[in-house]
Amino acid sequence: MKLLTCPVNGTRPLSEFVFGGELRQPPAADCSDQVWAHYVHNRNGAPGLKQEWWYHAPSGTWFIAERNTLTDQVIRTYLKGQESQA
Amino acid sequence: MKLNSEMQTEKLMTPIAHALHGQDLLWDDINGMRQATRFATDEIELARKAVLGLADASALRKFGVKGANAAQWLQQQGLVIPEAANRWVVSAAGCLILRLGNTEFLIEDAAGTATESVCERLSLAFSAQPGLYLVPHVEAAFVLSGTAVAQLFSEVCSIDLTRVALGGKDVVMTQFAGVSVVLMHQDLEEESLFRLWCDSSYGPYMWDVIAGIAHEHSGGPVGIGRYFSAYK
Amino acid sequence: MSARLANNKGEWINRAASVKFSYEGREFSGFEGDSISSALWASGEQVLGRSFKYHRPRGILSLANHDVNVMLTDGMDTNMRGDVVAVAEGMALKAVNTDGGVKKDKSRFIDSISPLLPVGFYYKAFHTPKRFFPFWENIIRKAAGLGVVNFNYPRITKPKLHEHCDVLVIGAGATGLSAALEAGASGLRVIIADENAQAGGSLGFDWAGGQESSTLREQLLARLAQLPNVSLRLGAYAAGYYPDHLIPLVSKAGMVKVRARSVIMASGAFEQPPVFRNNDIPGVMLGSAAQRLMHRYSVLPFSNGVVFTANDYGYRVALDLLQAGVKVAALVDLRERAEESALPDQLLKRGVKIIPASCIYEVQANADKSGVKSVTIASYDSASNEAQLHDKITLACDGVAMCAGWVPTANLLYQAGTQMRYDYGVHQFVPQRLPAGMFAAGRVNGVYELNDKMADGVRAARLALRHLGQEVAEPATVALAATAQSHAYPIVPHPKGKNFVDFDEDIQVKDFINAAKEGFDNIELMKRFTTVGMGPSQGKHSNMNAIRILARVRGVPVEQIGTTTSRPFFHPTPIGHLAGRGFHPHRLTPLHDANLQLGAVMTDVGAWKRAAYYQVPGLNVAQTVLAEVEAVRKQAGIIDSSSFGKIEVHGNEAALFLERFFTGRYADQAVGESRYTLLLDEAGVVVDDGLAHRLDEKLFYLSSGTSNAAAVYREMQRWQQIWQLDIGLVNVTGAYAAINIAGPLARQILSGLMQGLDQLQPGSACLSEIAGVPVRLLRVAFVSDFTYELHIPTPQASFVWQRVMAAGQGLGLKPFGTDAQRLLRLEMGHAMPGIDTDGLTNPFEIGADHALALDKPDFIGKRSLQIIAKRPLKKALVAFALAPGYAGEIPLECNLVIRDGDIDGRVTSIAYSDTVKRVIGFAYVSPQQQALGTVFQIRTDSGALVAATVVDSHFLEAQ
Repeated sequence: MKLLTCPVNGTRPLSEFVFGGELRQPPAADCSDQVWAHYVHNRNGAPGLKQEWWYHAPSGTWFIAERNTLTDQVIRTYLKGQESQA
Repeated sequence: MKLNSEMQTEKLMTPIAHALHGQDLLWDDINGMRQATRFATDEIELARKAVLGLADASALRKFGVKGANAAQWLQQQGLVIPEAANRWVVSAAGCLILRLGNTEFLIEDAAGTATESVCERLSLAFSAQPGLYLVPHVEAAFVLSGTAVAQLFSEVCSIDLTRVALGGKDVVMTQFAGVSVVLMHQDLEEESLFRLWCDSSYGPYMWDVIAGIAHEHSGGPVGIGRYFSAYK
Repeated sequence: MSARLANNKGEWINRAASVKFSYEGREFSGFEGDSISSALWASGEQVLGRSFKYHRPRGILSLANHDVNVMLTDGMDTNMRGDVVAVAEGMALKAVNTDGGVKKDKSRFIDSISPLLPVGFYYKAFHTPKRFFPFWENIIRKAAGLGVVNFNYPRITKPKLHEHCDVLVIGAGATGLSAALEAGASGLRVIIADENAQAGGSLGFDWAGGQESSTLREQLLARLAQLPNVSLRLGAYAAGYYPDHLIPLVSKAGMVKVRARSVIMASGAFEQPPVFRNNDIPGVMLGSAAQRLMHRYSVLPFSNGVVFTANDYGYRVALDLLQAGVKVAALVDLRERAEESALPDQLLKRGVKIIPASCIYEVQANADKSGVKSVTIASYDSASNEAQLHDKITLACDGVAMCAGWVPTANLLYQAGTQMRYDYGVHQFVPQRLPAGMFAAGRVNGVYELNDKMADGVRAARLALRHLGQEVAEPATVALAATAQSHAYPIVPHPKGKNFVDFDEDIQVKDFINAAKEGFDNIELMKRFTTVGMGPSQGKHSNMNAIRILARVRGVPVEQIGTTTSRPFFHPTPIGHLAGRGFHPHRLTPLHDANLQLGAVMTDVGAWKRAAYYQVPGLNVAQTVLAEVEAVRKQAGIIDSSSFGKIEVHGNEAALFLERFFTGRYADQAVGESRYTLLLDEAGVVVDDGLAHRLDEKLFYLSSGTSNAAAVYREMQRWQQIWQLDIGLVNVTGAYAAINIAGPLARQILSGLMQGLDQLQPGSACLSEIAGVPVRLLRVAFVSDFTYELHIPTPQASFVWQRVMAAGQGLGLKPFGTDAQRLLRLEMGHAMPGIDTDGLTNPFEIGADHALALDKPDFIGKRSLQIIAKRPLKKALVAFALAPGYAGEIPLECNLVIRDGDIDGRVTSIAYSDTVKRVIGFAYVSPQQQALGTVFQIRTDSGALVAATVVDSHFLEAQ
């Protein structure tokens, strides 16, 4: 099965991880109802490079994986807030 | 030897208890925790230890802290701590200090140090402050040894745990038989040992899995005194 | 009548160990090392099976597990592949798929009515008149199977192992061995695997009459044995390719999941049959099958045969036949001439008649179709693809060795995403773009000459080493075979058909023509309509010919047709291997043994084992549960709640964290106070609920249900990453056990053990102790208004439990389980997320408005609630009761609420309460029906309508 690299704990099989959905910025608090509903209920399914939340279960570590959803290649993984060090 | 049916006098009970229920074993008190301390004759236990021995180390007292200031606080208490994430060190007195990730620490007293318990000292010294949080540790703890340990690992774990990959002072957080574990290797009392911790609720399951595989290799459970001479 | 040859160097059989077995009720004898097929063939037995559809007699085709002509059952196991399963002492075997035995199969008449059963006939016939379809379906289904499952087959689990290596070489022929030697010289960890019982690949049988290959094989293996870092796995096939080079190696002993840092495919190629009428009669076999028979098992394939070849390989086979003492009546070459002249020259010197530009037009079988009697040979015009019958001749013979070419064993390459291209020089698909870390060498790569193959293995190993960061010079390229190794179109048409392309599925040439005519002219549609490649061999001997035929029908080049998707497993894999030992992690509370001693019957709640109820002799389950409920209502009950989620939130901003995470208000919560928590998701849907106990200014102790605990903690960690508040989160679910003592006598029982009970108001928490053990004491009201919940450090839980049980003994303290707990909380009027809510329920629908502090700056789900609040309510959860004394069919959870013949809602919880003496529950109804006193209808499973009345959820107070 696929391997994924936790920035703190190293490379592990996918079974040690939980997927947390795409990293997305919520719209501003004063946005319209339509914009908010779109944020909550819709997702962009087009393939491409996406930032995804992943959780390493044995260590309780949340991190971000930048993944090409067409080729399933993970470009890099980093702790949120440490993108520049990735 | 104490029978299970009497009211328990020790305040603490090993998390493995259910896996040992119904077997004809010697029970005793280590650090106030009721434990099975003998599983078979000397001859058999020594033979098991050499090929695939398994012992319950849950009675060793543990202490834990996490947070941005945890490292500094521990140093202020006089401890030498690992500098990097997922590493361990051992104090002069034999106390284990594991750095779990970047900001969490698990400390385990050396066997037979109940009177000078580092964990007790730290527990008394602890006071709440920003970036420093107490983590209770009551995990099931195991010791493994023997020539067939690599075969056990190849059954229960999908990552590469050969000595080359699990370096000298590394701490590994992974899964065994579907359960999250903390794992390290230690040379102690001239023996090559593996130390394993998992949530106490998974203790009996983990014991059963490892003991079952151990028996297939002519190994099996041994008393903790086989590894820690302080508990012989 | 033995067809066994004299001792062969390197033969697989051990002539010192004979093996006795039976086949179709008759006794046979073979040697240790024989496969079932080779032992039978050696004894002169040629009818080894019956084909799937037409029940034609079948013998050996590939002897390599690339076909399933020989499938057997031993009564317990079935679909055993005779070609590769070793014969064992005492085996009692029968062919599968026969009605009355392989020789007298009653279904053999189907062959003669085959014109009525064209490809896809079952799509077109039998469905009218409709009422007869079940009759025909029954017959066809019975006929459509192969082996019969014996449901007494024992559960055999083989442990799954994980292994890691630097280089995994798949195939231990000349190419793979060369690659492994080169990679192994580096000192890295190398695993080389081969599906055969012995290594060497075609070095072990493709000899062209000489001994050089056999000698080379021994040398390569001897060199390999010198390398301790190289591990040779025999009898192990690479079952599939999974992401990041995970390849399971499957053998009889089980599955080894190998994670390799690089992979070299040296898996060779499948030999392909030419297609001509009656090419499936026993005695007609692939050239390499004849070689395997002679050199692995020392068995004569036939005594006087014809070689029909469309490539140079047939000449090599002919030389091997001569060397073994087989008469070669003729070698028929579909082509004008061979690619290289040395081999034909050797044959001519030995007096073999070579007939060029010709084909076998048809094979004549003997009387009972159990063997070959003669073949008809005719000139072949490759331009028109037709046999020229004017000068046809008939030769008597008892066997045919046929060769048409090769298909690369590229399954795993395809699965890994390799792009292949069709090379018109070699006439096969070859890798064009390989994924990183994957390499191909030898025949699978289009390289055929022996020295070239070994050089190709070395090349691939060097590329692999470079990929792994080793200091190795860029290797030279190795050219593909210079001449065509396969024939572009080895298909001989015949008006009477029975020229088989797929032997598994009995598919003939005209089936493809007809399918294309009907419009199924795309390779995916062609595959599914004809079922080519869908049999147990999964197209190993048939897919390429199918592609060639379709390309010709459509008039397009082969590579425009494409290939169908290759999927694991490469060979059928036992389910017991996939199950392995079977790990089923489960969590036990520290009170597990105490519960069992009290007669607990356990149930699974997520990963936890919890007591559902405590058995009482003489009472059934329902009575037991009602008695437990009664104890809680009248005296006191005790329950082990250790599985509940427990999370500590520490720090200066702990209250702020709670305010943002949950819907309620916590900033002004006093120390010692407990408040309700409700968790929503961003869409405003109810996720979970629980309690927050403020144990200290900077410590909130949260409890939540069992199933969601891990997920809630995870989400807290994630939000903390985003909010970066001055807090610490600690998951203490496993660190604390929990015991609830509930009922009118609860306080009395506990007051002998601990202090401060009198002062403890409902909805509050404090720290206490029992016999020196620290206890977090909570006063909650889930199952009863008089409930004390003790949280105890896990190792000390059984000590405390025993003391509480002892204290409660004289006052009638009874243990109760989750069954009783469900009913008790229902009586208390508590709706439970996950039971009374679903994936769409918002808090307005369950009347949880009181828990929503909408004036807070923000909390998870607030924005969505603001939008939802603007709309009218769609449904409402109400408490209901059936009529007092109701004694009819009790509705179940999920039974529907019906109004005017339409669905108006559903029941979410329902049970008979002996305390209230009525059937009570919760249900969703439309908002118009939610007023107290409204009567609505519930439809039971049997269709009856039951009247229910909306009541106040405080069921107990109504009494």
